[in-house]
Amino acid sequence: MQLLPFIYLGYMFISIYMSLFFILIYWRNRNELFDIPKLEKIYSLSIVVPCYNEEKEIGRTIKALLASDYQGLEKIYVVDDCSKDNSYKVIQEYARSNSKVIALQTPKNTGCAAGAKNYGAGFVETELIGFTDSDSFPESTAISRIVGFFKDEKVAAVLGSNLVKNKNTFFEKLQAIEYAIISWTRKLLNYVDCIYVTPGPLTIYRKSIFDKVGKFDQKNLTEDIEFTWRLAYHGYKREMCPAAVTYTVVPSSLKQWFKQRQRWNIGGLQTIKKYKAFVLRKGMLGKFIIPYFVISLFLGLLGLSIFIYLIIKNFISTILLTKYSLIASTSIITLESLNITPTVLNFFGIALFFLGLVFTIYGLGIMKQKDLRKQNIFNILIYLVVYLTIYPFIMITSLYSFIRGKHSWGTK
Amino acid sequence: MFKSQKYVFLNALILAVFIFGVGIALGYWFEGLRVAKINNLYTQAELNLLDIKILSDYTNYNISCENAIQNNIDFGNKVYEEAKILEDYENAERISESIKIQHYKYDLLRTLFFINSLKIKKQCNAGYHNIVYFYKYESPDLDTKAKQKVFSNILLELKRNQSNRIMLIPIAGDISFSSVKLLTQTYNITQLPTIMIDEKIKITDIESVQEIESLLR
Repeated sequence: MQLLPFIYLGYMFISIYMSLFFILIYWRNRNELFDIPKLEKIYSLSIVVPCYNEEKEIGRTIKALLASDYQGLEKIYVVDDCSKDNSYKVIQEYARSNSKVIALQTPKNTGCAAGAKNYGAGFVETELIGFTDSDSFPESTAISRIVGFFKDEKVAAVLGSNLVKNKNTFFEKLQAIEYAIISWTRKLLNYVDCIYVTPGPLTIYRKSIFDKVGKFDQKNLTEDIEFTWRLAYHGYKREMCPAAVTYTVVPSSLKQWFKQRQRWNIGGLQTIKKYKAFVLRKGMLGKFIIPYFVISLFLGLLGLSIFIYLIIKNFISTILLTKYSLIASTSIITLESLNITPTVLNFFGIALFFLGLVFTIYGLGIMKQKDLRKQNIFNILIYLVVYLTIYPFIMITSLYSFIRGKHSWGTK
Repeated sequence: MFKSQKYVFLNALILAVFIFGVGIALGYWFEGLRVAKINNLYTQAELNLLDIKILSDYTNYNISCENAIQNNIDFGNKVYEEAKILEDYENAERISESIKIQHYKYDLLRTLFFINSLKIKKQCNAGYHNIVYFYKYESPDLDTKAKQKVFSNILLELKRNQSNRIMLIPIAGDISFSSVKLLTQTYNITQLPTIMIDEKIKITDIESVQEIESLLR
């Protein structure tokens, strides 16, 4: 057998394995996916909101937090990282009108969300500490649904579902599909202790553990991934509550989106580099999370390399064919060449594509994103065929920036 | 909770191996169907060639020369069409390599057909032209592939224009069978692809259909 079909079959096997892995977990736990532990104790809680140049959104975030039905929410520390716009003024206005809101400002711009988060965390004295991005809006029930999970003493962090607030344009709708599917699969990974990120829109940590394992790594571009791996390294549990929904604003332009995903990728690479020595060690961190990241990276790059190789090969072939056809004064395309005989791999690919389609449609239904499902099957098809295949390209540029060491949040 | 769930890794693996295995088995079966189709065509072609060969032997006794020529032309057309099916299936083969054997068998059959065609042409003074297309079969590079694709298109057009006036016989010139080696040595085929017209003219560079047609006159 030639090498390429062998590689394609390898990809197919991994796709089948991962699909079955998620389907099996879902099937076993389908009845308790949205279960919420009974709130037996009111833990004191503070939320820290890092903010940089978010004068338009920060007010809505504060309002959403103030609307929370959780009685133990004592303080909301909104930390302005020396914004260039009027963010701090807006925060101060809210602080004046509500005693729960504390307006803070870092002494100088830290250049990253982690810096503002760490600064705010220094003021927190409650049993639990939560973080919400300044462009995210937790539902009023989100916090109270999350807190119940902390009755298990080993639980260090609980996160909710992150869904998209701005689902207006086609591009935003694609991201909305992605966020819903990520939230669903993240919950499924929860059942095997493999949550690899406690994301910015809303995560609550047990303060004693948060202090014990140390603050967010300000050098890492995805401090939430790094911190989660650190929790896993120390053997702490991370839980997810899909019923606790936070809506977040996603990039509207391709440029912003590319920049955001590049930052995520570079952060992922930084985290892999930091924890690479723990492969197959430290529980699920070494047995699943690190290999999962590394294999995804490898497969993405290999896939892209093959894609580029085939493009170049076909390009050269077309040039040569055109050149010789012109010399011979014969047609470049004949009726016979249009007759394509399907290969077995074509059939496998179609079967896997439909599996992915059903998985996505089903996932959107589970995450109660039926509007996305009903709106247009075309969006889902584009999401599967185009949107997901852009990732390896971002990975290449991220890897380049990572190797060169030129990367930052871009908030200085 | 986690410990009881962790078996899912193994369960998923077992299921994936099973489904993947079924897929591969189906793949083999599917490609096997194509091989079986080619094999049936080959068997039929083999019988036809045997029939033609017997007819050509009869011509030694000046019997049925016209019939032998017509059968030879029909067989040539049939084998040429089957070569296209074989090429399609071979290009679409991904899991097994069974069609490769069929390809070798067809090459040998076409070699035998060429020899028989020469014999009939000589004995019956037939007016058709033997056009043998020697191509590179084993790992051709991009340039050779493109060249061969254009050669195929030229020959396809030539066949359409000339119909029964030409006997088009494609043979892989680089397979390691003694008869094919002998053939390439006999006609001094040193470069692939080469189009050989009436055992005399050899074309190794791209030429137009019209230029080749002028060589047939």
